[in-house]
Amino acid sequence: MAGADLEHSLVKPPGPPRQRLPLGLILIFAFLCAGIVSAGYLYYHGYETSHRQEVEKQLISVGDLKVAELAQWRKERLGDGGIFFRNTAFSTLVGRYYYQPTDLEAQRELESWLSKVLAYGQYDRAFLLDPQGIERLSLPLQPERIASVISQRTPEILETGAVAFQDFFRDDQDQRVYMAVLVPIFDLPDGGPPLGLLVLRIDPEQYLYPFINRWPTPSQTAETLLVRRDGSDVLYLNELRFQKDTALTLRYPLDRQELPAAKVVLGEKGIVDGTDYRGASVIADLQAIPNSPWFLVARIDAAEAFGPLVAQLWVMIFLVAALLFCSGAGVGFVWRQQNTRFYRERFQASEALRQSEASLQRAEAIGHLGHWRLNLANEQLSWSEEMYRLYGIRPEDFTFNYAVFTRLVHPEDRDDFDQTTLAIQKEGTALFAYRIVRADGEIRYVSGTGELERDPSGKVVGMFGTVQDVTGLQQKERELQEKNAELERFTYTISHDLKSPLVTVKTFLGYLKEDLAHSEEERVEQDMGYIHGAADKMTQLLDELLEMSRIGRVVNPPVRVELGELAQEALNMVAGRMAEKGVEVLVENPNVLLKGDRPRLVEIWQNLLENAVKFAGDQPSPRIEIGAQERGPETLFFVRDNGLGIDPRFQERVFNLFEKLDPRIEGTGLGLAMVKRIVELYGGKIWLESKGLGKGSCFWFTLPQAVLQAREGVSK
Amino acid sequence: MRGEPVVILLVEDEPAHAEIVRRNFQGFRLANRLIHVTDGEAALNYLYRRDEFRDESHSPRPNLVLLDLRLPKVDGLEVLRTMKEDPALCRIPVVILTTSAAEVDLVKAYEYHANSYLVKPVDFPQFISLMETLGYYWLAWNEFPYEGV
Repeated sequence: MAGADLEHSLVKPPGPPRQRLPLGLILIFAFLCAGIVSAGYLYYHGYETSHRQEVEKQLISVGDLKVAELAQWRKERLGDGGIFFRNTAFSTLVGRYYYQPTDLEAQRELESWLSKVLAYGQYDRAFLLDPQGIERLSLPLQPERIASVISQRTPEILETGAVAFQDFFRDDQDQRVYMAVLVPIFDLPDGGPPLGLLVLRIDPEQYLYPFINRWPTPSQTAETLLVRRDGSDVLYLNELRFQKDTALTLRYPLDRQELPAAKVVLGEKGIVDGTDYRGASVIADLQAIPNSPWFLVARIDAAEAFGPLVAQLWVMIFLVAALLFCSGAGVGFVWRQQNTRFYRERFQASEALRQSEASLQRAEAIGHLGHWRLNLANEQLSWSEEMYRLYGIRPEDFTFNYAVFTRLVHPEDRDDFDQTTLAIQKEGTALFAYRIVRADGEIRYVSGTGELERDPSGKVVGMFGTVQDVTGLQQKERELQEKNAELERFTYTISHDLKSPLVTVKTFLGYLKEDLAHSEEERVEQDMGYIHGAADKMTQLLDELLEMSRIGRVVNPPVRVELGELAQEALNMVAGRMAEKGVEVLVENPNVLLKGDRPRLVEIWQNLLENAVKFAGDQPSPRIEIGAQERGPETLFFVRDNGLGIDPRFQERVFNLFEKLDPRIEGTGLGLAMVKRIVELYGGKIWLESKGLGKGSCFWFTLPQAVLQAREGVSK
Repeated sequence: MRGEPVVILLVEDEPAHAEIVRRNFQGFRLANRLIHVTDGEAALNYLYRRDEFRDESHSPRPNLVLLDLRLPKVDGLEVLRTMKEDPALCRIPVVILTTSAAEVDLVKAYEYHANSYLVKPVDFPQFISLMETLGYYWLAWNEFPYEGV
């Protein structure tokens, strides 16, 4: 029953629950997120930049310091050599030692000089070589052979005639790394034949390596490297912090560009990022040491240098995440508040809707007015609850569309109904009035209005209308019409029947005047008789009209009375005329109990008895039966006679106002009309049975609103 | 036609009114015959010669019918309609003579081809005058169709 659901669904909350975030809140949240993230990023970026600058500054200052010291150190070593270079006293001593092997004093003096230099601490051993590079003296005194590198280099040094450095070399005796200051000794201060070469050997382990390895601040990974170019390689000159036996052994090809050591050898300077010999990512300061083949690399692991940065990054991420979560929660809270308000408002709205729906249903039930809606797209018809009540149909029994609906209309009204539907489509609105056949077969009158429904664009989408049960109204209207007809008949007959005796009176007064003038006594008598008769008739008419108008207007208090009593009272009133004709009366079921306006009830039987006596005809043994019978749920009363009877053609008319079948019979034609009105007052009806003239007649009537109970029994 | 007695059928339930008509028509010199019946059924019985009117010598065919409207048993308008719908009776002139001046009655009567509609005046001289005029008009001046068959 889709149609009914459509209508009934109005009381349910409409639609699925709202999940959509309002656009404003989404925007606010997006702005908050963007702000927080970019603020976090900018702060971190700034911090990173300054931290890096800090690290670089530290590296550069360490590099600068070391370079300066190394340069100074080299200068000092060459300076040391300068003491003996072109030193006449020393040259003389060396000459004496070489050429006068017995001059022990010269040897002692020479040893004393050199011992003083060794005591200075920078040199671990001093050699004195002859021009062929052959070792002539070695201090300290334990004999040790000069490294072949130096002895081979002797002639070259003597040739240049200047103090020179022997860079790091590996001694072929003890396989240790040394360096040396080479001082050529000449015979004369201003030249002359060379006497030999003074070699001041330096053990880098003693001062140089520790100095290079020293770092001014505590650090896990920072160190300085000393390197030089060796062919197409870079050669490491010192012992490294994280690798042993590297001096003069560790080398890498120069195309290992990621190595800061390779970069510095190739001429790069300043701060660089790279990967060191361990494969670790590092940041390094590159510098060349002036007046030397050396290069210095001051490096620190990126992991250590930027370690605080990572921690800082995590703090930032945590902070940003926390802020994002807070703003999300804030926005969520606002949304929830809004939603709560939204649902509360919607609940209130649906509650109000439900109440107004209930009111509508109640109003419809009270007014017996239902409404319907026809969807033209699918021909589906939906009804309000009252419509089902009106039609006496249960919603679950039917699936409605226009065709099914039409079948509920009374067959005689279907064409009209279709016409009205067409009229709605043509005119936009129209009135319905038709009968329906309810499921239980009852016919009811309904009326209503239908109109077209349009969507906002003006397109016709359906029809909407009301249907009201007007059966009660219809009945009232019919009754009113009947009353009106009766009133019309009444005024009509008044104008005729009252005028008639008036015409008689006036005319015969005219005749009377003439006849008196002519002294026609017989005619005078006749005229006066007519006038008298007309006057009597008018009096009677007026009396009965007055009586008639009292029916239903003047009401005596209701009393309980048995049929027998009523019949007896009526019989008493017409006793004279009945005795005259010798009528026999029989009363059946006198115990039937009635309740009502007693004089009015008596009038029923009185009039019927008068009627029966009047139309007894020349029946030799006239008989009237009065009684009651049970027929189904009804109690039927009857007054039966064996008189003239009534032609079936006129049986309907006898109850009409002023209706007389025989003008010769006395009376005004009001008696039976009056009976009918009283019977109708008690919700009953009256009819006549007669087989025709001479066969007697029987008046039957019911008094549903007066009968209390019926009892069997016959009394005479 | 002249000289022959004119047969008039008076249908009137009020004896007094019938007496008025009779008195006026008696005063008329022309030989005529007034037959009076008191209800619609009797009028039809007479016209169709039924029951007590079976004998033609006692119930000659009327040349004129004076018809009241409100009648017992069969209404005057019904009598009029029956007559005018019957080819054998439709040529008989019917003059409605009634106390009713109701519009419905007038309209109905002419619809059923009444030849004239007269309302009984309450005033005596008027009534007498009407009766005289009626007599002159219908009995002296009016030509009736030949009723051979």
